[in-house]
Amino acid sequence: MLKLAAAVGHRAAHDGPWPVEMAWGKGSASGAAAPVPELENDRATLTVPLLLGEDEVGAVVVSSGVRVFGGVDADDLALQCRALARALAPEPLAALRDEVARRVPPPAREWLEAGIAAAARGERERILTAFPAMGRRLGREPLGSRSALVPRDVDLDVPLRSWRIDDAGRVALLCGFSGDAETLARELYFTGDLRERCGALRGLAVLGRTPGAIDAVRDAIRSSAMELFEAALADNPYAGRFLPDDEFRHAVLKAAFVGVSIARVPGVEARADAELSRMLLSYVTEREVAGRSVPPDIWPVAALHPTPGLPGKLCGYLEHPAAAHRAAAAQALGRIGDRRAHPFLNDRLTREDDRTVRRILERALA
Amino acid sequence: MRIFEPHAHMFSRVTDDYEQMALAGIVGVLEPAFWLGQPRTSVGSFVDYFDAIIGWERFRAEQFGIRHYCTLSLNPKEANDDRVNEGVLALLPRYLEKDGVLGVGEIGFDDITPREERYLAAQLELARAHDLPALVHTPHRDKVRGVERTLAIMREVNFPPERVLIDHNTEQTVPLVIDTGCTMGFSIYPDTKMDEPRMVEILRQWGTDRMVINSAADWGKSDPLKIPKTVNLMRQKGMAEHEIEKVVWHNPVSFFAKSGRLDLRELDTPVSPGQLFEGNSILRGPRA
Repeated sequence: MLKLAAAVGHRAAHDGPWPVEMAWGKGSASGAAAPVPELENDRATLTVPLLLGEDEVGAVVVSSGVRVFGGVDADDLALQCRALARALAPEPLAALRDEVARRVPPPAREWLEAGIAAAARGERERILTAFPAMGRRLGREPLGSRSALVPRDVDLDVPLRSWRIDDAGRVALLCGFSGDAETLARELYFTGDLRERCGALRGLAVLGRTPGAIDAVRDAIRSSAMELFEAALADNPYAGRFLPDDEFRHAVLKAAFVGVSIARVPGVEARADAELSRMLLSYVTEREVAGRSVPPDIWPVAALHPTPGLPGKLCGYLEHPAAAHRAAAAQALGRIGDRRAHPFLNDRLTREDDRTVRRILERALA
Repeated sequence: MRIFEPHAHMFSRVTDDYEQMALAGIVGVLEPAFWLGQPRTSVGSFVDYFDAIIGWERFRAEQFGIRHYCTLSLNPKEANDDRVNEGVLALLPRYLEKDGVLGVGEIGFDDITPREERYLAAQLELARAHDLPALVHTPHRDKVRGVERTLAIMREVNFPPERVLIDHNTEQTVPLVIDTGCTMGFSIYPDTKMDEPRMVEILRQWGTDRMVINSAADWGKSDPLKIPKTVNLMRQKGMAEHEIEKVVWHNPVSFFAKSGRLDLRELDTPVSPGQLFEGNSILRGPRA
């Protein structure tokens, strides 16, 4: 069990206690660590969950008798805690073994282990045969994991929330392969069926290091099979790292268009630019002209490079009946930082019931 | 009543067909690889065709709550075409290991040529090597002779008859096949092949053991609702429900389960909304 403590200031003596010390860890023997699914801030004590994907693997509590914590402190610590959770995460192969082992019966597990062992010996042919058989052997149900994988040499995470069991098995083989896994994943994509292709793309999310297999991503993004499109782009940092700007923008626009949340596209905020904002807002206009709804996750991204009139439109969405729209509009207005929006943010805050939206409104006003 | 459609070329059908099939109780459909009406000039066309029916077509079917499976092969017509025959045969081992592939087919005869014989035998060997059942097409012309040659070749290569579905049977071919142990398929068609009243009569005369019916719906004049329509007539003619269910569900499902790849539990589980892909572009119309 790992004990973590965080504090502001110095300890009284070298061996003295921290101001607040808290045991954490899954199934900790003392049972002292209650789950902290959400950030809590009572101003004197700040409690931030350690999140790997959406899985809470611990919490950090910061307490100070003196300082009052603000929203900025909370957001900073939340980011640091994510980084800490990534640093503590197991290797992808170990994590996948664990995910699969909990969900499949022993014979299927042994079959997969034999495949991983063969992969470690560099037996490419074994992977080629095992790839199409994976669904029959392990099943095709959703993995149902809230966790994420952290590649060994890149500081990013790959959420498992939309993976299926056969995806996990396929990527485990690729992770175990002692040869060039990226090239192999590319080959498996172009010779695979729909499920194998998804597995190869998810493998690239974890193992992709060069643009060498980007043509597989391109092929999948062109597809109208949503499962394939999603596997290529959503929760897949490989696409975001290696697609050229124009293709990346069009991929993000297609995500919005087909109903995949653009918030699930890794790198979308880092790569957002004025042209992407223009494209997304032109899509919004097209939807509004037709009297149709608009996906809320467009707002915070478009706000990174706002177009004229966007703050006004967002003030309107602060009064949207859906909390997701109010939260996204408030976050976007916070990013734009246009003080003309403050009266509307304040007005909404006086009537807002949703706790998350309230927090975002407060941050936007800070 | 649950229906398994063991022979439909959905590649050539529109989404309305899937919708109506689902409403009529069809929960699983098997798509045999065949020819496309238009001869292919290169092996690459087969690669794309196979990729479509193991990928895209499965996705299309699931939009409507239908599980999609297939059999793959070099079809009898194009077995005669030296531009593609050897190349397609060489492709098959890789494809036959794919997840939704429940057999080798359609193989068999069209004009009953020496090449057709050679590729029929070679593909029965492939079925054996991949531990898969075989779906055999019987010719439109000289059908009786074609069935006789098919049965002879099966004996020559010693292929187990209980792992063969001989399709497109008629009153004339039933006596040849009924005692072989092969499963017998009947394609209910608007004009040609078999129709509903004759089908009910055949079942009345010969029983329901190892009998399956299908629509063989394709790019020609055909009707993907022929199984449910035949079920209606079976009921009108007083066939027992369990006998009907045997013909449209148990027989085809247990035949293709011989592949070891038909997950019966999965087939019994409706494709859930969670597995449908939210906001997909087909359901939204012409936006993609």
